[in-house]
Amino acid sequence: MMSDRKYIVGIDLGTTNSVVAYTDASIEKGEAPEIRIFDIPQLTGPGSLEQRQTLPSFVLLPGPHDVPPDGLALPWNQKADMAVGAFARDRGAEIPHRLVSSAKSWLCHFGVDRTRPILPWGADKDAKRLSPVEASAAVLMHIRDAWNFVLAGDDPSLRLENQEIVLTVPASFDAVARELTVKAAASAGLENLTLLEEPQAAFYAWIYNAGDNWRKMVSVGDVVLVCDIGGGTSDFSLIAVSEDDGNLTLERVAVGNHLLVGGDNMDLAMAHMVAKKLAAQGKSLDSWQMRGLWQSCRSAKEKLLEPDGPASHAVTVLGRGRGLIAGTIKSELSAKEVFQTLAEGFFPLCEKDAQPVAPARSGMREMGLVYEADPAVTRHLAAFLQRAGLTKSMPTAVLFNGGVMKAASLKERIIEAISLWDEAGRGARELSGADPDLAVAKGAACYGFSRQGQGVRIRGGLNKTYFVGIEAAMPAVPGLPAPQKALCVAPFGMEEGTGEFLTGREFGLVVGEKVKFDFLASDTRHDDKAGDIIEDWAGQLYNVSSLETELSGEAGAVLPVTLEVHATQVGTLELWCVQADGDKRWKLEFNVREKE
Amino acid sequence: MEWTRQFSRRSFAWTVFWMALLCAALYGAVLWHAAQLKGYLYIAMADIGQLRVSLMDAVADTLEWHIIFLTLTLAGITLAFALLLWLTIKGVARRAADGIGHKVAVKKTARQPETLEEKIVKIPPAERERQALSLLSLLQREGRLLDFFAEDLEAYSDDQIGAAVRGIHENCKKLLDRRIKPSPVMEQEEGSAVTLPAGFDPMTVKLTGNVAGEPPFKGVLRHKGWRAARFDMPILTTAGDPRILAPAEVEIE
Repeated sequence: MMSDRKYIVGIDLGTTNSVVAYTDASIEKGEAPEIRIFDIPQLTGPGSLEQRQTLPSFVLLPGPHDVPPDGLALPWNQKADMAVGAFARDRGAEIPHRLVSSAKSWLCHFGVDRTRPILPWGADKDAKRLSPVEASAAVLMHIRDAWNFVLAGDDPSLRLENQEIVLTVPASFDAVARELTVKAAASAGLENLTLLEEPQAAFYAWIYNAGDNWRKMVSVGDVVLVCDIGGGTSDFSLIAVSEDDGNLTLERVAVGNHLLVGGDNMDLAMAHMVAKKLAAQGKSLDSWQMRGLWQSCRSAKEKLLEPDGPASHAVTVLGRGRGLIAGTIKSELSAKEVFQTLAEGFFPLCEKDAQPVAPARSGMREMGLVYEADPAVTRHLAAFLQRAGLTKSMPTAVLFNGGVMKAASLKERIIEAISLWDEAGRGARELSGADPDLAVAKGAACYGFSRQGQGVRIRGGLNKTYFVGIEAAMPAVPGLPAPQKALCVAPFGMEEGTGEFLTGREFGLVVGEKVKFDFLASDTRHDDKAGDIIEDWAGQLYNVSSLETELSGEAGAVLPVTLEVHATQVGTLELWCVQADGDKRWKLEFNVREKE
Repeated sequence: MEWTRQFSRRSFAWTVFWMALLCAALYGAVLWHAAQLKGYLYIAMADIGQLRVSLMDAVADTLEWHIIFLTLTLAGITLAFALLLWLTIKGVARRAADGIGHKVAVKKTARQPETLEEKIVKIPPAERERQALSLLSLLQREGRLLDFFAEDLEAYSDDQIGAAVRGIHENCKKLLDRRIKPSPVMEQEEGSAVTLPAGFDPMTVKLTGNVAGEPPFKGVLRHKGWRAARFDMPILTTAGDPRILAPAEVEIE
């Protein structure tokens, strides 16, 4: 029961950085919770332990010669053979085929088998590897062990496994990716879990910071765009403010795609720009120097984009080894250059019906993460708003989140782009948040707390409409694949803790044979109800995965079953085949292997 | 440990005290009852000649009554002393615990965690060397400071040195600000007149020039001094050669 948990913990399992925030579960009624950040002990060098507010979500799997013996020892695990955190990230940059990064983005990649050990991508066959689920679990296990060491000691009631945990996921994560996230958490022993969408968490953090004033800062009819641009990913969501019985209510009405473009792309773009300048002077850079240049550009960018920043900043790459001064390569970045490159490359002012540019692909593609072909965030944003149905009036307020959005000039640029799309030319106003790096974790802790009592909740429910493919009852035509119709099983906005019982539709399934359903989703169709059949769905629905099970019983018999769908309190989707004239049930499992 | 020793010493003293008193009280009770019985016995023996059977009955009754009374008295005294002993021991325990600073049975809403460092047992030898050299090792790793000092500046122009130094300066400064946060000891502007009050700490302010007499001193501030406003260094968890400030780097093709 919630009442005997000591803490409510919000875990932001980020693509680049993870953060943990917590608050006491038992607080006097009417008092605001005090949310603290858990400083996570981690290795910052071989044999060097420190507490930091963020834990870089990198896992280093060193070979026998990559780190000193016992260099990975942790106070809670003297025999550790992998590292998680700042040292993993820094050392891993030097030995990249031993480093697992962006495991989270692999969780929603359906071109690979997500349960097989495939990371680090491109590593040798005999090197140690982890599956995306195992890598995410490794980060959570580090958090769990660190928490238990620092805060729990000998008291089992203070262990992380026994606290109320809210884990954030991107709003665009589909049912399969969410299921895998829950699996990763379960293998780390974290089972008192609820999933929360990251943009919603950022909004909760904003409400917490604003205190009771938040009701004065938004009004009925406001549409808030949550724009979260981090190191590797960008996420958009829309939250509508309306009214119920005199109270302000919030509802998450639209969710964007998981875009693999972010701050790292911007730093790389600037590094390439400087490299081009240097090439014009006849200086070429090797990969070590490019990495140093990337770092140098990142810190230059941060200084140049500050409100009263300098007009230009030197970018230096020191020479390798002892040839420090002799090998120094120097160049310069001006504030104007930086803003122009970023504004035109990543935030171009475009039409409101702009679509992301998809360049002609050559036949073969390197396997790996599906990075965005078009890095223009504003074009993706325009497409998102179109899909969400905002064709005439644009969002009235924007909440920014993520490391990239610390730069005021980029925030203004986005607001400018939005005001161009608005028919009346109105600009959106900015809702000022705090701590763009820590907001998601704080918001998650806040949400966990408000679930207990009367805190304001953002209504959300299912973020997509889900369908199951069924074959049309039509005579087979040789050469043509049997046409498929789509049966809606889980409507958009389906609330957690509810179920849909599709008793109107029976399937005759053969016992002993593998049963397979195509599992489809749509981001655009919001009005379908459970049980609706869609005949012509090309272009609107996309294939997510397949659902599989095997019926038990008399082999060869044909059993009539109906489908049952549950949206769990945790935040995942469960589908069951239920015997039509009996009690037996079989759970349909998501297939996370490669798409055939 | 300290608590246990204090507690056991004091509780032993009190136990001995109350048990000794208990013995004395019991002895006293038994003596009194015995004296009573002796009295009755003399009367009984004096009257045996007259064969006063009724008095024998009376004596037997009194004897029984005395035995019951004796048992009750003994039980009462033992219980009373046990109670007194328990109360005393409780008081001793609380005082011993307070003396050490542990709070017994206090309801907490948030657990105050020990610092990370208090939990980790450091690995002993060459410790001082390692701790002292660790800051230098960090400055080399993040700022290339040792590489810079190894350079022969005669071979380069000021421009070249300047270009390299900007990067080193930025990285080393970032590191120091985060970990040590060097801050001035005195906040006033250098060159301004300052007055040092009586009782100032010579560790924090160094006097130069014409120093005579007793404070307060009037003088001119020449250097603001440096103070480490923070100490945020990593906890070193492994043994290994403390003299290694930075490993050599070999790139595998």
